[in-house]
Amino acid sequence: MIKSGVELTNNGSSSGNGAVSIHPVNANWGRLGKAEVYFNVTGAAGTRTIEVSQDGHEFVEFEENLDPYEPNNIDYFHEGWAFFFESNSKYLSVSFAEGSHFALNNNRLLVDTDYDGTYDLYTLDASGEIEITDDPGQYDKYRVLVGLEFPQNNTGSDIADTLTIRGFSASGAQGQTLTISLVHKAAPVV
Amino acid sequence: MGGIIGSKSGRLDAWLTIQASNPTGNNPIDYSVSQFNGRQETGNKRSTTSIVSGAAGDRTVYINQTGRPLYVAFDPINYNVAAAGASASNPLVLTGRTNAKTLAFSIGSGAFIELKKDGSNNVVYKQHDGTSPTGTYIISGNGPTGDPGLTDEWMFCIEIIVDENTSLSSRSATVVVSALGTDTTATPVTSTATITQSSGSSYLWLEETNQTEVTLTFAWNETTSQTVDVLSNDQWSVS
Repeated sequence: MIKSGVELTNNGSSSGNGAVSIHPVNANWGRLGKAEVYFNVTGAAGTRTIEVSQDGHEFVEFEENLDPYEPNNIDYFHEGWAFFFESNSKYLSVSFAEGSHFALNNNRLLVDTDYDGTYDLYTLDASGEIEITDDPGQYDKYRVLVGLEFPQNNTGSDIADTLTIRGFSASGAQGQTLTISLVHKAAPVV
Repeated sequence: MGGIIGSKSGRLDAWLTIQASNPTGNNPIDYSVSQFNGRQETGNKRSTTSIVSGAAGDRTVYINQTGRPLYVAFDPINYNVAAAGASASNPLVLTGRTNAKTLAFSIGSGAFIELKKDGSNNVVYKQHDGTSPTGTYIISGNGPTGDPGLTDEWMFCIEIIVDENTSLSSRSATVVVSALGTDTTATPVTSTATITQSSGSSYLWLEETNQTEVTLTFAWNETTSQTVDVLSNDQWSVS
């Protein structure tokens, strides 16, 4: 029998002494530990219980296998750049170290909690933060689409900045941080 | 007036019965004896005399009774013990009767029983008075002081420790007692007792005896299995 999120492998005899092996099917992407899952071992002597729980954790990371292409090597003619990251934080803050060249497109983040291509639009407040409605990060991760906008780099010099995305839990304590080094390359000298 | 007495001292031995229904003229005297359980060996007998007195004087009848061949028997021969077994402090006690000089005990079969041993790891047994063990422990292969078997039957007992039966089937073991007389080169006479132990109850534990719950905690990204050992003597299933 398979229970949600946990797979059972009975690798022992079902008569006499034996063993039951259990492992989670998936990682737990929520901040909260998963609700305890119960397995019953039943025999003539009665029913015995195996409780299974899985820890949660908080994170802010590039979406697996979708690392943005060379954020530190953006060609001069580009006027925008986008990437995905994943998180399970309740709050996200976005900040630039320099803040004069790069900016968030419309000062907002696009959040897809169901990974179905449908995004909710979140505008950063004055502190540069957003709060994810209903805090789905308690139970699972969500995807965030970040769009940056900036003018072409015709300054003759590379323009660098650091984009920092911080995740905050429900208590307000800072969780994980995603730091991205941005470099808008100067136009080549002809 | 004549008469019949059991000996010149005038007392009859208890094992001798004399009957003379017509102690006059030519008539028989019937002599009968009770069973003599003393061990049959060269020179071992019980004897007494009977004096027949008449006006013509005393006449002597010598009565000799030889012993009973060497024997030993567990009594009872079959024993039942519960699944819980029998501990050293409350052992199963086998009893029996013999006229042997020495007894030796061994396990015929059954790895779940153990014979009583002394501090030097010798199997030991005791005499028994019909109600309870008596005297001190006697090392197996030896006999009680004074060789009481020469003159009569004596009872013995031995303590058995029985392991708990955790299986769902009853099981049996045997204990053998070997008896010898004075001649230690002779073939021993033996008796075998059978111990039958009731089947155990079904049990089911997780990781260790009496544990009914186990908690497994996985890290958020842990995908390797954790294993819970199941201890049982019966069928079980997981759901």
